[in-house]
Amino acid sequence: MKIRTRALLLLALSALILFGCRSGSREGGTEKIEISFFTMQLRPVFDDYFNELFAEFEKLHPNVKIKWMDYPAEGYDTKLITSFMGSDPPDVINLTPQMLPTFVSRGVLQSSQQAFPKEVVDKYFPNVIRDACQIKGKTYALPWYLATGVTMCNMKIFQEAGLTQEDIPKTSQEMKGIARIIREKTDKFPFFPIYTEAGAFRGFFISAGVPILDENETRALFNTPKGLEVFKFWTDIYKEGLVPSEALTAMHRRPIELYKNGKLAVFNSGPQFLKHVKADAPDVYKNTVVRPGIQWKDQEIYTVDVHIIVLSKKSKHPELAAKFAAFVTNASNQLKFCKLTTIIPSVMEAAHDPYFTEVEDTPEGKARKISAEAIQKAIVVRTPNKHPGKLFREMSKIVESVCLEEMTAEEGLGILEERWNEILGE
Amino acid sequence: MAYTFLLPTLVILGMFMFYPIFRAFLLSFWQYTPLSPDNRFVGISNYTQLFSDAEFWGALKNSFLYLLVVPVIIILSLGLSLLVEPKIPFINFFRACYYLPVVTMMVVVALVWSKIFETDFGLLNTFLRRLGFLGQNQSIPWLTSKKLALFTVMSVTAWKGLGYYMVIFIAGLRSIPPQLIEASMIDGCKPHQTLFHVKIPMLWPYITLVGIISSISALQVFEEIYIMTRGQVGTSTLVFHIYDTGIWIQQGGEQEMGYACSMGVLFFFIIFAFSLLNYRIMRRFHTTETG
Amino acid sequence: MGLKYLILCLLVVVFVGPFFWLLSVALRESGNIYSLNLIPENPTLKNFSDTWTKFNLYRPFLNSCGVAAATMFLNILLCSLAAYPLARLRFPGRQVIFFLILSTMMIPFQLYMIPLFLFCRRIGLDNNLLGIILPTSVGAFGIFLIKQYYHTIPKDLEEAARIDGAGEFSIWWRIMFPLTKPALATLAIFVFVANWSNFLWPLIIIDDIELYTMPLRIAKLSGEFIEKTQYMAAGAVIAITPVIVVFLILQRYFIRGISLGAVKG
Repeated sequence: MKIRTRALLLLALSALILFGCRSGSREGGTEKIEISFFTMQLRPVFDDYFNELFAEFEKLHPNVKIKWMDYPAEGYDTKLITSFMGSDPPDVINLTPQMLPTFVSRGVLQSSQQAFPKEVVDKYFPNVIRDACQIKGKTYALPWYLATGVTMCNMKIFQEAGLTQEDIPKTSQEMKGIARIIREKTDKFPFFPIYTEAGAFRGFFISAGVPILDENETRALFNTPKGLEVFKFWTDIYKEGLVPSEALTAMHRRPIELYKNGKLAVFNSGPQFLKHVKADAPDVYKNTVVRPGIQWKDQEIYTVDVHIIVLSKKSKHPELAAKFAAFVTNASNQLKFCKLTTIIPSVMEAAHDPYFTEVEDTPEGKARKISAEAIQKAIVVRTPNKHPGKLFREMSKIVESVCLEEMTAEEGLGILEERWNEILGE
Repeated sequence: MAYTFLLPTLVILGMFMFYPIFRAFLLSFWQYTPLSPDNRFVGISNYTQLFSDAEFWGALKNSFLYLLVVPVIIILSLGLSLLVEPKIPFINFFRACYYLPVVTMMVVVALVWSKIFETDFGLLNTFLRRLGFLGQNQSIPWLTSKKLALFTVMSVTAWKGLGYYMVIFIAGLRSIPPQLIEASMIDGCKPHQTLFHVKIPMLWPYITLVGIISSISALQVFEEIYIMTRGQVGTSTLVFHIYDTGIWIQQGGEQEMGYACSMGVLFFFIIFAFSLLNYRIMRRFHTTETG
Repeated sequence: MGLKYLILCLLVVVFVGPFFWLLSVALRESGNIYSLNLIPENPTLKNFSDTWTKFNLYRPFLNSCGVAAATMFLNILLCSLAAYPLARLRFPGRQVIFFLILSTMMIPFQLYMIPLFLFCRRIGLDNNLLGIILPTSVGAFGIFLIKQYYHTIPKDLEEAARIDGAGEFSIWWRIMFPLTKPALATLAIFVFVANWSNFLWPLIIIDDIELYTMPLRIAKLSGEFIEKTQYMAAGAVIAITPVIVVFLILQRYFIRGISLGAVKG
């Protein structure tokens, strides 16, 4: 009998826990119009900023209530798709340009003139609009916050290898030379480029000015002498052992741990990671020097990561949703947001604010200035509209094969071009 | 009356197993992506596409390669059981230790071993460098080489499962009539002769049982691959590939559920063949036991 | 003999060593996780408290407990219910039902996991802990395990009760069910442990991080904290400790479960 009562208690307890855990969408029994706003990994850090923003919008539109739903970055697309399939799809959504083709192909996003009127769209950097928000000439999104890459150098490792600040590389070619020295004189790694995550290798081509696809996305354009030079350069670096072997399969956050543990000399990333380094590895932060992103030879190409705002076709209140999207991404709100963390606004007016032109003399301040200046020349690495997953997989496999010496760079690039043209032709 | 007893079970099995199984076969003849406007019936075109799908064949090949872990498991767990079967002092402690990995989550096991097998700074390579087997900047690419990665992952599967099969073999060893062992000793056999000529033949039903169970397990591995390599570096196996094709959506994944279901159907036939074999063996085993 | 113990001890290092290393990393402060010293210089419990509170690790812990417990109880109940008529009663279609249930043991989950996902979404069980519990609330393994045990119970008790005029259900509830306690304990442990570490299905069906079970959360933790291995290690230790504790206390049932399940069929 003791077992039975214990069992019943446990059963009751588990039932309680379960019902407590059921994710329920609260029934909004209000007369107000509800606009739901889906965002990626912004809570709880920016709770105050957003609550203020919502309050302001609600003051301007008293019959509206903003429902904020924030989700972690991993699994975000899955969550979004499930929401669209459910009964209560979101109205205004935070996306990245990498996810845009998926949702456009499923036909769930707005692209009308009313949603994105010209006067609104013109306020943003035109290159960002073109690369991050448009597909086949139609605008599907408004740009939000951006970050460009900067180069962070751990001077302690440089010193260990007998190098000084003068030696900090500005180009990939210089980087290769420095890498050899660091590898020879220390047991640390010089740098950690990402080779295969989500078609990361395209970044190498783009930084060297090699185009990936043609305008209509029907042909691969990277198999040229210049493209081969780039392909060879980076695969040779891997083969020479100048980068950790996991660079072949690692995701883009892996270098952060190595850098924080003092095992990585040069680290390229958005300036927001400086905060993590400051918090978790203060002695490394002390020795960190920030420089602009490393270029290819004499190019001046900056790739940016950007977040965008899209609108759902299924929204019950499209005009209000469009107004809200424009509000979130307007100059003053973006400027406020950027003062909270090291990101850059996509609105031209905000980017020219003194906050970005007159900066303090710290790694973080310098990083901000460098990033803001780079925006005008920045390129967003576009995701192909058709079958991006397949294209990236093919690229990863070929990069793997060449780096692991199963085929030569020439063979690899040729095969990759063939496969891409096949897939694009489907 | 009996059916009242069976009702909840039949309802649950019906809804959550038989109906989805039926739909899996149906869906394999469709092109289906959630929310897509292009979903349509495509007949056997998924299956014909499979024939020319290099990734699929790669995953299939890897799944069968994975079966190489079975003889390793059999030999090692048999060895372990021979070691721990005799009741010497503290033997229960040792048995519990070897069984420990079996009860821990594969997720944790895979995470720990991926850190240990990390190429450049991982524990194993650092250890080997300390011992002098590797040079200062040398590393063995356990999880970053196409030749090694699959076997590295397989070794983790083996490591985790050994305790389980060890227990089965202990039961097997206990089932050998002691008279047989005594008889062979009296006949002047040395221990290893007893092992090979008496114990192992008597253990044969157990060996085949372990073989089949571990084969079915090996064909179904998922977590190890998901956590340790995400299917890269030549480690994608069938279950992972089905998940990757049908459910995975990050980085442009297209959720081709119809196509994934056709792979699932093929997978079913493979597993079914093994399971049938399993059933036959268990039946014969049962009658040997009681007969 | 000494050699034998040496080998046994070396093997302990092989099988338990990695977990010690995990614990050691979890106890380290920030800094070098790659050093070979297993004993950290300044052991700290901060990583544990951080992951438990800051990253709310208690949520997936409770989720896993709830799901595993619920599945365990449902299995005990439903498998026993289903096994009784198969073991003891004669009724039309008995062979068919038996065969049907047996066949489920030969069908791999991966065949139907995608349609199951679509179905659960249609009936609203997606992103819901019941979506994990219900599909696994009864299974052929449990049914046959209990059925096997029923066969070992002498028929006299039932016969006596039938003569006294008791209905089948009260015979089952008052006599048969309580007598199967050892088998139920074995089944309970088996289901609990299997469910606790279940990964693939929860991965497919659950989206919300608040509803994650422990394995899902640990996997995501390693992605989120790819920069802070100590957190991942602390989370992992929290994840595996409950089952290890249960295992140490109830070793017999584990071992018996294997022999019963695998060997006797």
